[in-house]
Amino acid sequence: MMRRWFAKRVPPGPLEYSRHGWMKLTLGLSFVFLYAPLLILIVFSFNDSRRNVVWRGFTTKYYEKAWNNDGLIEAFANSLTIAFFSTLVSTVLGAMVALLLWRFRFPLKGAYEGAMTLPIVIPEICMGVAMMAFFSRIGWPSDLFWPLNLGAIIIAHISFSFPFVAVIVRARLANFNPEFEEAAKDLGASEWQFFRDIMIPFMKPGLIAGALLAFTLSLDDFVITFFTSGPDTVTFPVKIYSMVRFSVTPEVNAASTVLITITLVLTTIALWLQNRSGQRIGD
Amino acid sequence: MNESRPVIEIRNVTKRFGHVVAVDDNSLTIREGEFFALLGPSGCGKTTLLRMLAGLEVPSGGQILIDGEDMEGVAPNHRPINMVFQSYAVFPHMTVFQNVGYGLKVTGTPASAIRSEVMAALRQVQLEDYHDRMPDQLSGGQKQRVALARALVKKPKVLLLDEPLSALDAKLREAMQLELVKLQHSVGITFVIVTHDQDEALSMADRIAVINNGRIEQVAEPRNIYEYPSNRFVADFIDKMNVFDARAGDSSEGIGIEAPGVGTFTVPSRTDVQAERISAVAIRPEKTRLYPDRPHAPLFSVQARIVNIAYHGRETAVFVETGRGTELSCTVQNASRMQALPQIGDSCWIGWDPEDVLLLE
Repeated sequence: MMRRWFAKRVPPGPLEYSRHGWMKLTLGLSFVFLYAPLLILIVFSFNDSRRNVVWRGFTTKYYEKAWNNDGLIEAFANSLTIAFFSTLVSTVLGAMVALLLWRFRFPLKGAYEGAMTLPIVIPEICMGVAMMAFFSRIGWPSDLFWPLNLGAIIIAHISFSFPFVAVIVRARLANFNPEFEEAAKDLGASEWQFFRDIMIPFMKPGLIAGALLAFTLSLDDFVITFFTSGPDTVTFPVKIYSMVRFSVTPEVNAASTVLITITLVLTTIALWLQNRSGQRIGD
Repeated sequence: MNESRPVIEIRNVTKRFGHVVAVDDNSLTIREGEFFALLGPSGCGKTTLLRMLAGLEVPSGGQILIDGEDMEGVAPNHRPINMVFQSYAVFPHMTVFQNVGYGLKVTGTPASAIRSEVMAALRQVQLEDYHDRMPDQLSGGQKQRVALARALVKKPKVLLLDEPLSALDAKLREAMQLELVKLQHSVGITFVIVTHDQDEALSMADRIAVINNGRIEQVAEPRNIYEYPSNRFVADFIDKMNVFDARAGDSSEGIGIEAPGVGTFTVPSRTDVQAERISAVAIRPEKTRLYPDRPHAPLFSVQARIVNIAYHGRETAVFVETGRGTELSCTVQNASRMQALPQIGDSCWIGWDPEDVLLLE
């Protein structure tokens, strides 16, 4: 009793933000606007109604319907394939760029660094139009068989993903103690042994974070994909867009929920991996 | 030890970074089994010299021989030398065991041999129980032991240590000084240590090279470095020193010194200095004494006034000014609690034995 009375009399300290009413309100509203739409999307994917407005009871039939929608499944497979290859290449490429920028000094390095990060700041729509113009100019064939028909999209995705990987890995490398390299060489390691035993383990958290980002960037990209996909190649976001143009059915919700789940699971795995290696790396 | 053969020979080695000369035409021989210190202020080129021995920097000129072999073009991973880095550079993603075993692993030592050699090396630095720890679970002192074991396990001809104690706190540093010397005796490997801490160099090393502005100023045993510095820089750099301008001339009893701010006295003649070339003389503060009244000869003494006092616990530094305006310092050991402390403003006599005076060119 005494303690509660006493506690009430202490005004909030300058850094005790959680004890200010306005802060609590802002926090609460942020959560509502962030997560309420997602929750509604998920809840209504189980709605037993053709129109997605009123709750009419629980059903999983739209998941079944989505599963049996060949177009949707094909788009989904395309998206995962594109994301896989794009992530693989942009992680390797991004890591190499980061190493180059960290390790070497060369003329016009600043210009190169700036130009390399351009895709991060260029509006996606411009990038998409540019990609489309580029591929039609060089006469990229649009009638190849799967998965080569995804080539143009994969190349486009790599070109806007790898700068993100490079930036993340570069930030990680900024903390690298050059004496690690000297110590490794001093102990008898060759250039390659040093790279394999010291450098890659050190970069690993950055590589995982970068790969994760590249994967999600590729998986949900709409604009650039829209401009670079041929008439017969449809990705998941593009497919959803075309379905929504007719009507927003719970099938769209169901498909989106599956995508959210996959993204969440992958993120959790990546974070877990990163955390584990992060502990080992000593930060 | 003086007869043992040279393990490192540095011949006219120069290192330039652009227009800056970091190491300027130095020659030096380090003998087998020696504990050798490169001592100098920061930026004097001592670390550059060490890194050239390790092969981490390439000399701009001159020759380095290790164990009789010219090291030109030999990469760091092929030199019979290992180094303990200033930051220790213990690999953060490897256990203590993996760190110590890394140098053996990359050169293709079989796993069973690695195990016994790593454990033996860890025993030498008293870290056996820590073999499966990660570096972030170790204190600074323990990390340093890992770095030591990691270098020693390679059984190098020479172990290089770059400011090994600078990151440790004072107590631990003193303990590590003794331990490093003990370790060096037990493994019998030549140690070359870089330090800016003269106390460290004096207490650990068999021989010291004092370096300034890229040049070796003096190479000698610690006692000779301290008692017989060969020039003004060494005299001033090693511990505290009263240096004052003087002129000298030969006289019948020895060398007559005339110091404008202090007085005139005679020191015994020496063969190693020519009286005409002497430009200054110096005396260590602990070799001077304060007297309330004029002391008797053969001490030289001059009347002075106490202008400042710094109490250090074990000793007190007393600063006096002679009647002719020269400031001198005197270190008084606080040998007894009952000892009366001098007071600022007191007048006194400061004196010393002319035998203890250094003659500087």
